[in-house]
Amino acid sequence: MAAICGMHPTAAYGDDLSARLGFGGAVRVGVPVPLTVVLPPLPYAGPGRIEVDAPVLGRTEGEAVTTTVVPFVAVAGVRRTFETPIQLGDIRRPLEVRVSIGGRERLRQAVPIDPQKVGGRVAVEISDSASGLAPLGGLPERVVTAYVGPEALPRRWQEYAAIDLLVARDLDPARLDQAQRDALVMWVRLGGRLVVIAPPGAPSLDALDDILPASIGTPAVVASEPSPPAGASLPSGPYPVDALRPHPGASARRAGGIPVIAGAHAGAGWVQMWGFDPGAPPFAGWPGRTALWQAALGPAGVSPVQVDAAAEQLPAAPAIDPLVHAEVGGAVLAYLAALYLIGRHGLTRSRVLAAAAAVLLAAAVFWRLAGDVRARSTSVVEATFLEQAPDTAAARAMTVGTVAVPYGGRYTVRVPAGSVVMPVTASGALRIVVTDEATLLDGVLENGEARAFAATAAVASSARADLSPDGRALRVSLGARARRAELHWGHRWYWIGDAGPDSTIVLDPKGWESGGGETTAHDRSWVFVGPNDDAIISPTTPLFVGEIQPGAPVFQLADGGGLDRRPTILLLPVGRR
Amino acid sequence: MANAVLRGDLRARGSSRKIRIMELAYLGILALLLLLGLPPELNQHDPSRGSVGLALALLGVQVVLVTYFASACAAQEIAVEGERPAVDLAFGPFSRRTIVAGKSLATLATIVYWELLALPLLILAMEIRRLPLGALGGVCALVTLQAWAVAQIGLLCGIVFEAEFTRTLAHWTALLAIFVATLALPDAFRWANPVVAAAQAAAGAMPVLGAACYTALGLGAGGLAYAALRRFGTP
Repeated sequence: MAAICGMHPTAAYGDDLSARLGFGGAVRVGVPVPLTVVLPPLPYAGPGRIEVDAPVLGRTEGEAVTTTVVPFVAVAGVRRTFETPIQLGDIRRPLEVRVSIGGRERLRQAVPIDPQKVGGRVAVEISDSASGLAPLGGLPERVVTAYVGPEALPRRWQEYAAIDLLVARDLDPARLDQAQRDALVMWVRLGGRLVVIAPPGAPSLDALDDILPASIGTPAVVASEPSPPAGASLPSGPYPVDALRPHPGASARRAGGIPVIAGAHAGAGWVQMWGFDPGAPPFAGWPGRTALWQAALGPAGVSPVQVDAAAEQLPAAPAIDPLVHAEVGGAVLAYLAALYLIGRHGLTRSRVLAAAAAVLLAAAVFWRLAGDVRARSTSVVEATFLEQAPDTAAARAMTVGTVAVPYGGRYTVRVPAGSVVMPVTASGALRIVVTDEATLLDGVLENGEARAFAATAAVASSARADLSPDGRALRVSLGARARRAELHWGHRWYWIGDAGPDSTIVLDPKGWESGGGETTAHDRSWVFVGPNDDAIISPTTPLFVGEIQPGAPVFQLADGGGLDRRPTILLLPVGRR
Repeated sequence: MANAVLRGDLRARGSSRKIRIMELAYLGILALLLLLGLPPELNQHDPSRGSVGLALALLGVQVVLVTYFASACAAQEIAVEGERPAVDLAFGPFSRRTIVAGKSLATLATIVYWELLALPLLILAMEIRRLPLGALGGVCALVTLQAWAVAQIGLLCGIVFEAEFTRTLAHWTALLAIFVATLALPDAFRWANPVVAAAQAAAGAMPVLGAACYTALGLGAGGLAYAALRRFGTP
């Protein structure tokens, strides 16, 4: 639990207001983390809102905050719980949670962020007892560990973004609601790492069976070995285990011939199942336990898409509708012509009055025209990166959108429900209104300034690509035609061009190239040609990259304005079969 | 209208072809600047330079044009058809008070009319960039005051200097002193520059001291013009 302090002096009834930040207080900067606000029963009813000020490091003077707003309808005497994603930018200052009902502030709490809980990497254990992850604390890469109950698991898979490893130790899936289970499964499929500990007596895990690498078998005992081999991967018995039944394709490690660790990919994620209790003897004192946990933690997960670089690839100030300028020019000319016609034969009293009337009319028309010009020149440019989770029907869709208000001023952008949207660089002068229907981004920009946002969602997609064992043929099943396709591997890329929905591409070993988009005659995708061609980092395994038709727009300006869309970039991990 | 000089000047200016040309030139320049400044990339925010933006640049041009045209007419540098100079009126049946008050009010009315004509263009330029329109009233009042004060100096030059060359030289010296020399003042006194003062007013910080000084300058120049008319034997 995050420590709660800073009670508002006038909120005497607010003793029970509580806010849980992150996972047992463990957070990471720059990614969505869950914030749960529990409102005590209050004697007020009516429209209310929760406002959370998250401090950010801004270039503006003074203390900049990003405000997240959750509107709700208060019911007197009822305890309410709200969960919303928050992005942290400046951990030196506390979050401020304010609750207003009926237009008046009723409660206020400050939620400080413990610097010890801000991780380079974060491992979270779902457990009733706060123990087990201690070996990870000794690793050189500053791993923050935390222990939470099942109720702390978020209901949006995007809010797991801070977690590098989730350990389900005492997890009874029956204690999770459907939204929590769905979010957990989706997070794993889209790249999460999960370790499920299932010692003898563990509850049934049927609800998570889709992503587990094994089923729980029968209780067994690993026998004692009088002289265990040097460097054994697991300690010698005797100790009780669950004999796991690995699913096809899963790897297994055995102790005394009994499968006690099973691991397998689940989409883009990785799940391990341990049939023993690592906190109990002989594991508790076993020298190899750190290596076991380190292997479970794995290397730091890196998305192939560099969001900030992708945002730089998008034009910050798209071309303004030329009709806007023509409208203004026409209106100004009409005004001058009217004044000329009124005054061409000299000014009498009536003509002065006519000129005054023309001025008043022009003032009203120009004022409206100015609003129209500003609204029509406001624009958003967006591009979506679709990262297919292998062997699943899901893909992670990250849409980067750049909002520009060329003349400066306010903007309101609507993002549909299902996406979690955050600014690419934490920034002040921004309100994020989270409702069940949509997320609204409401902010102010100076002229010439642009602001980039990243919206993350899961979408249905079943694309796949396989490379033949000899590496000479690539079979793709995309569901739609891809243009400007390339195969990337390390720092090299192979130009494919157009690829049909189901096609086989014969690869010429001499066709591999390296270097940026300016060194080739190929008509490469926009993502590789532009001010920052590092938007997609060099993959260590083969990756099919191609342009596909974009789906429905993600960022929509609420007050009208231009929408410019780049083709969606499909990122398809290539298997070998 | 009890003041015959005011009545005569307004009638002359109302039917003057030169005044019409001046108005068209004034509004045409402002409109051209407005249109040229529409591409937003020309108006990008540069915090390091404390940029005032093109909308405020438009205001600066307006200050210069209105002030110059008003003072040039008052100094007879631009002779308005049918409008009699103050020196000529001094030999007529008018008192010094009538002449100075009439000329002064005619200039003020002309400035207000010009300000009014440019108001829609300023509204368009400022509203597009979401500059606070609430400050526009104060800005217009300040610009009117500044232009009137400088025009009073023009009136004084028209009375004191009989030779056209000397009068023009004195008028331009006064203009350069007010618009250029004041830029060399320390920051604390930069409100003395009409353009800087107008920009400050547009930013919501009305330079009250500057407005007071220009009021005093206008009244002082009017007083001196009143005194200067004595040498013609005008009562």
